[in-house]
Amino acid sequence: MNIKKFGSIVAAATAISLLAGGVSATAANAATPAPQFYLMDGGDGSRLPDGKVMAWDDQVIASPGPEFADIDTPFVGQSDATSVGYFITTPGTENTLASWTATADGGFTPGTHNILQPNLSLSGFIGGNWASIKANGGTYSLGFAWVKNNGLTIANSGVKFVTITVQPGGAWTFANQAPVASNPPVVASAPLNTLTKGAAFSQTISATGTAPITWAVTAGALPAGLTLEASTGKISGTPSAAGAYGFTLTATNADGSDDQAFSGSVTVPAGAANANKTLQAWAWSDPTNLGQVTTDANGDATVDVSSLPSGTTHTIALTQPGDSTFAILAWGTVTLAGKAPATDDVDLKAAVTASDLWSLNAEKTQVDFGNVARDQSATKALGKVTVVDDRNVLKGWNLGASWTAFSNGSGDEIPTSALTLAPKAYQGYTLIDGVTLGSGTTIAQSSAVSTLPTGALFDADLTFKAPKDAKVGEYHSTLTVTLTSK
Amino acid sequence: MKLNKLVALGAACGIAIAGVGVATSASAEPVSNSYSLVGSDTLQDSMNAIINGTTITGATVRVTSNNKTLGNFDAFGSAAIQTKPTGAFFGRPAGSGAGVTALRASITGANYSGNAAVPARQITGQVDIARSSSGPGGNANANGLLAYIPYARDAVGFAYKGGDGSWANLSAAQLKGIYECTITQVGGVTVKPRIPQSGSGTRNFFLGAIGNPTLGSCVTDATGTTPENDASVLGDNELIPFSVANWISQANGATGINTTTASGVSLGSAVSGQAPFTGTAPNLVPNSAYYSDATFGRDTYLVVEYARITPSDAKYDAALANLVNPGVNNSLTSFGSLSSSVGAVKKKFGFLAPSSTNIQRAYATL
Repeated sequence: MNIKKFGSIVAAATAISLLAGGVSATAANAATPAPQFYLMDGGDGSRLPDGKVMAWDDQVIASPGPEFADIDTPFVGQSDATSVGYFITTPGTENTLASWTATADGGFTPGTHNILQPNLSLSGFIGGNWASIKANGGTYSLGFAWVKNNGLTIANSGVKFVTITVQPGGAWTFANQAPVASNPPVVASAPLNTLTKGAAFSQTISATGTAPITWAVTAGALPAGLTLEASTGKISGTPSAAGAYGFTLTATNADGSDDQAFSGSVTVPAGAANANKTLQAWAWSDPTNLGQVTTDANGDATVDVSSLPSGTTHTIALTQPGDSTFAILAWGTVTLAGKAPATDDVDLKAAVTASDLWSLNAEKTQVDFGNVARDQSATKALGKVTVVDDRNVLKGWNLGASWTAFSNGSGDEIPTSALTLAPKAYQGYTLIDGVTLGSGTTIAQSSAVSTLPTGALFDADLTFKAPKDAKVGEYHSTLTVTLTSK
Repeated sequence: MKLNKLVALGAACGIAIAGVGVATSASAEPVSNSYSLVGSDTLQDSMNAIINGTTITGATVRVTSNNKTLGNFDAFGSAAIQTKPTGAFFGRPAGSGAGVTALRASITGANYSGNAAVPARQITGQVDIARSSSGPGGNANANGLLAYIPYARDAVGFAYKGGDGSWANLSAAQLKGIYECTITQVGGVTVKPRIPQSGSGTRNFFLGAIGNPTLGSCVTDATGTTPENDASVLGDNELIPFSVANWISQANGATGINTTTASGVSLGSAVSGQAPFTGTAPNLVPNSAYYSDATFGRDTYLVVEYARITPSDAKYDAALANLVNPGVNNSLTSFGSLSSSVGAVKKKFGFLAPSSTNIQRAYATL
């Protein structure tokens, strides 16, 4: 009885056993190291092609991703950083500011500690010994860093750099940065040729994909007497035993792997009791009528199993046509080679980030009420007061104001009650939910909501009323705006 | 956790307190170790940002030249400036015309006097680029020795204080009459025209746009030193030519000083049916329809010696040529769209891309 992959199966009238072929999981693709940032054209934002020879004054910017759409994504920094340094330096000295060969200053996106599109053009380095780099060339790290401590210390967000090679005179190239296309192996879905006990056999299984590809049996076992050549996929030898077989070959390269199940049987002697009969064929496990078949003189029948799913094992049974009792005359199992239905898990991940900003800024440094006649009032705006609460852990806050008595330097004082404060939102700003205006000496308060890095903007009308009996002269007070976390 | 911020309060009972507490310090003017720029007030703020470095677009933008910094000198400030190491102190060129004059003197070796407070002296090699808010005009010459290279597109309107609702839109003919003093009232309100000092590119462009009036006697500062683009100079019911880009940049907080919030001042339109800008401060956006107006829209320029940007000339300076070449990324005259581009900064300062990148030559002789 011959059992062939895919289209047909021959089931013996006598019971035979077939081995189920295993299916292995596909290994994850091997990771290709990505650069710490990508060098993009400073004019159109496109990624610089690998191998491009740059002029010293060509404009380049850094981007966290390789595509044009990535250039508007900033490099996110932490709040301990106070400034940005660009550098060209000897490899290995990136984290030592004092060792940087050439330097330039950068800046954060206002209100953040993030760096957007840092311009790393070599002609823009105005500090350090850039002239030596240009004159003598060499291999350097080109990058930028979050720094603190007046530019003396690398901040928590660290450094990012890529390797460049400068030629004497200033032309330069950079380490390859084009993403390498993943090309994992795909095993050709060719059936294994017929195996006959005692007959020499040789067949090479092929696969597409980036070389080198290695081969291994990852489930089941090769038919006895055959061996696999791991470097070529060649299966060869002389089958030493009759019987069913089932095994899975896995092809692997640097980008991933693919597997293919093979199964079948070698020729099995069959009795003649059922020779030359018309019988009903069934797929057993999931009852499927496979039609009628006719056995040959040896009792072998060819059953078309093309309608059955591949990649799994089926039981094939033969009964007398019209037998309502389904008395089985012969049966066998077969594993149809091919890709098994596979599932895989995709981890979904979304990291909520915050700028971790917590700041207060009152724009004006002085409010002048001008001349105020006795028993008269003057009102002036405090000016924009910006509260930024985008801390990682939001707690809410109170924004208050206090002020000292007005004094004229000659010992005369106007009490604090001469000044009143009426909070309001800064012109053009709409209060967000959770933030409310206060009264008295409270300008505003907030529940645990984020102002985002743009902040909440307040103002207040300050009204100064000169006491009826105040001595004439110039009086001064100091108003303190205080932001207190809840 | 507390954060404190102090605000000084001052009040006078019957005695005036001088000064405003929020004044911005003047821009630093370091000596340049490469090229120096002088001239137009209209262009100075955007160029200060580009040359000294800014993050106004979110990205750091700074134009340098071959690893050296540039020196951009304001139109107003101290009477004298020194642009190059060991170079002469000379009168600060106050405006487009003075900037070009200083550039010419820097080329020819003629004595230059920027203002009466500083004696005229040679300034050879002390000025490399002049900022000009107007084109070469009558000095255009196909074989000219200076090159006017488009920098950005601006427009001119007028700032006014007081008046009535009709002052928001005044035609060129009305404005001409106002400056000739034949129109003395608008909307029933007596109008007083003001004019920036004579070296102002904005003044010259504005007067040309409204038909080159002969300034009447009511323009009392016709020969004065009124600065351009400073709305705080306006008294009640006065108006003055104003760069729209400069108004926008001040209102948006791009510049250090904002005179658009001076009490009662507004920017008027000289283009029928078109407002100079849209939006509200600090998010004003130039109205391209106003800027494209053939009369009140204007390209602004950087002016250099033509020979220094001509490769076949012995005076050719490749670094300077690149610095003012609109086709070179990150040049002073480029107008890219990336956040890290010079063009993005110019937009923040109220400019649009120039209508052309063609160089105009001017001054057959210097």
